[in-house]
Amino acid sequence: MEKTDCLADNMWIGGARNPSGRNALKSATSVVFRDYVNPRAITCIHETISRSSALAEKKMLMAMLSQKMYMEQEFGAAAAAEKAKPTTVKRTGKTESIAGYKCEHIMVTDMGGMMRKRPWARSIHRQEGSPMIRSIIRATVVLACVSTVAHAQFGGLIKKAREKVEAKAENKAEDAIPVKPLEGDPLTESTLVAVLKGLSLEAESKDKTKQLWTAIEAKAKEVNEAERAAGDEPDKWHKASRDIESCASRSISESEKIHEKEMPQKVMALNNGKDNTAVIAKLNAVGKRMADAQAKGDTPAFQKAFADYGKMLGFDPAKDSAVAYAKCGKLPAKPASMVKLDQLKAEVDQLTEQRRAEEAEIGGRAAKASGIPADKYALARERLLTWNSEGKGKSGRRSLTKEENDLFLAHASDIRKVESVLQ
Amino acid sequence: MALFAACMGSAEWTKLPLPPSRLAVREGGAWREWWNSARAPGRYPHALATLVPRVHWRDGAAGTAWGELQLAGVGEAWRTRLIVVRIDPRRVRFTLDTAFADGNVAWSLDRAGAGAVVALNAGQFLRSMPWGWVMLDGAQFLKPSVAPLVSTLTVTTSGRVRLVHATVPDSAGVLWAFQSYPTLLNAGTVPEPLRAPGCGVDVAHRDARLALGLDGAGRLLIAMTRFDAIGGVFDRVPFGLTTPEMAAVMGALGATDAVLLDGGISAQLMVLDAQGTAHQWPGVRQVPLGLVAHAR
Repeated sequence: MEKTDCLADNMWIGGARNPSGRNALKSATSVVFRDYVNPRAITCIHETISRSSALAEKKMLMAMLSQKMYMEQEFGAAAAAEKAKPTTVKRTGKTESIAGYKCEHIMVTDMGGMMRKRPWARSIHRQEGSPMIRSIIRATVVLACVSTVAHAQFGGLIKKAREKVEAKAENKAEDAIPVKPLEGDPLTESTLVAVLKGLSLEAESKDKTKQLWTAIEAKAKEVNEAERAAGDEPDKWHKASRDIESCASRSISESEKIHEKEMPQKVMALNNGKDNTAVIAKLNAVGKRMADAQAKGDTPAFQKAFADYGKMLGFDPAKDSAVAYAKCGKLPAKPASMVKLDQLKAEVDQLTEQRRAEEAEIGGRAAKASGIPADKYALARERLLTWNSEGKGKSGRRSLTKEENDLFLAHASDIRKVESVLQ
Repeated sequence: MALFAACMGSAEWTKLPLPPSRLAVREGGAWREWWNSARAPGRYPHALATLVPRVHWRDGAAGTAWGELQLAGVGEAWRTRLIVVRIDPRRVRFTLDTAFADGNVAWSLDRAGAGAVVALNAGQFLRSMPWGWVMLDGAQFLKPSVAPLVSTLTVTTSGRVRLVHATVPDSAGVLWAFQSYPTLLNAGTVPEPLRAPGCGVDVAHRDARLALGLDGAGRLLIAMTRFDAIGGVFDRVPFGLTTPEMAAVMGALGATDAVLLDGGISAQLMVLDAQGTAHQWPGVRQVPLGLVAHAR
């Protein structure tokens, strides 16, 4: 199957694998596939089905109007390994006129696309008669339309054909929901140029993030070396601290239990009949500080606000802590090796956060430089990334429109310049 | 401003409707509609866990179970395969794994290792760095971020798994943690921004999806969608459900709390069956962070 153009939604294109279907289709110059399971969908393929080369090449194509996209999949070795089962391509004789073109319904009975595992390996017609198979066969009725229309006219032809089919489908409740154009539409020349602008900026900034990465790696090595140098000192310190910390923790818990017990009385004391508007306002303010700090994940701010709140009710966590450590003993001083280790780890953390912030900032600037909205930039970027990861259209997988693939190929040298950020 | 006001307004009639869509599940050769945007529930009580009995659960390793469903939606979601994994956290040990190569992301299912029973990409990421809070083996790797629709998954030293929304949980006792967005379910409720357009979440965009949640019994639920045309030949193509539809999927799978993970071309999942065979749904690209479950 050579050049294709798909203007319909959710529809199989091709899918037969057996050359025995070749003769039945080779005379067709334009084929319309209609999905009878989803009648709203119609797929049009135009230009010559060159001796059903797709069948011979074991390619499968699928089109989605909503994405203005078709995908191509080679069956490759997997299919070759399967023994060919006969395909039945039966001309029904039933004709229909679409957009002025006389089309004949053709029944293709070797498209087990609804089956999960290697559908092309199954012979559907052997099971003909079961409800499921009937539905598959219905789904694969082909309208072969004899046409010599010029390439440029196909847009109009297919548009009309689609309108015709959609008009028919409108009567069916199942298809009452209009399919709006989806996000991530194929890239056009202007979108690609815009995305390349953004990617160029990303590529220029790549060195900076790379430097940060190198710095992180170097610092991480220092951490490893420092850990080796520290030997078992950290373990010894943690062991020595554990008993003291457990004791202090118990002491603080006991203090908190006492505070909880005293709480109702203290609250009552605040509400002693006098004008307590100021106290309530102060409590509300500190409560808001706690909530804000918690929402921001700002632990020090939360702790400070919580301490202030406690103080208002006569509790002082810092005092409780001091009492606890006075009772249980002070934590041993950290050995120099641990101090150094902590410092190095903090530096790694700082560099890592810096790298992330750098990436976020570059991402924002890149989207801005592209001149398109950030979400559109992100989607277009992923589209280009997908193309790049699929071997620039050379692999069996192709998740983009043919026009898009051609566009990318035409800009291959520009894309190569930004390839370092297409990962 | 009008849109914003409509989102914030509590009166249902002031809200714009979700883009028309519906979801059907294939059952005994027929499609049964189970969700419609026009009547989308705002809450998912246990009674609405309609998909659970429809999953043909298969035994996985270490007390996990997994199954698949065929869904049919609107547009490109017309054939969507849903892969569901259910994990009892008491039977597994979770870890988070990062991988970078020369500063680029390098985690994929291949890194999960021989002992993994389930593996998937975790959280979201910018270019190479994970987004939000990351705790690795009790040490903070990256600082937290907080936003109304951010959810945080934490695994404590005792193995308890929690999903906390819109705030940063206390890090005490947390061994592993990562964040993601948007929240799909918060205590059984679909967040307001997922119930109407123009509230900060794109409720129309379709993509391959990966979500994680917890059900009422504390089990971890993972749900991944794959474009399911032509026997899964195109299953890596990033077509699929909308965010509200995915919230519905998680609710119908019995989740009380759930969040989306990075879907699209990043989504990848591996589950080991009871016979020791690994079933993989790889992604197109590598990611910086993976969540891996090992048998205890």
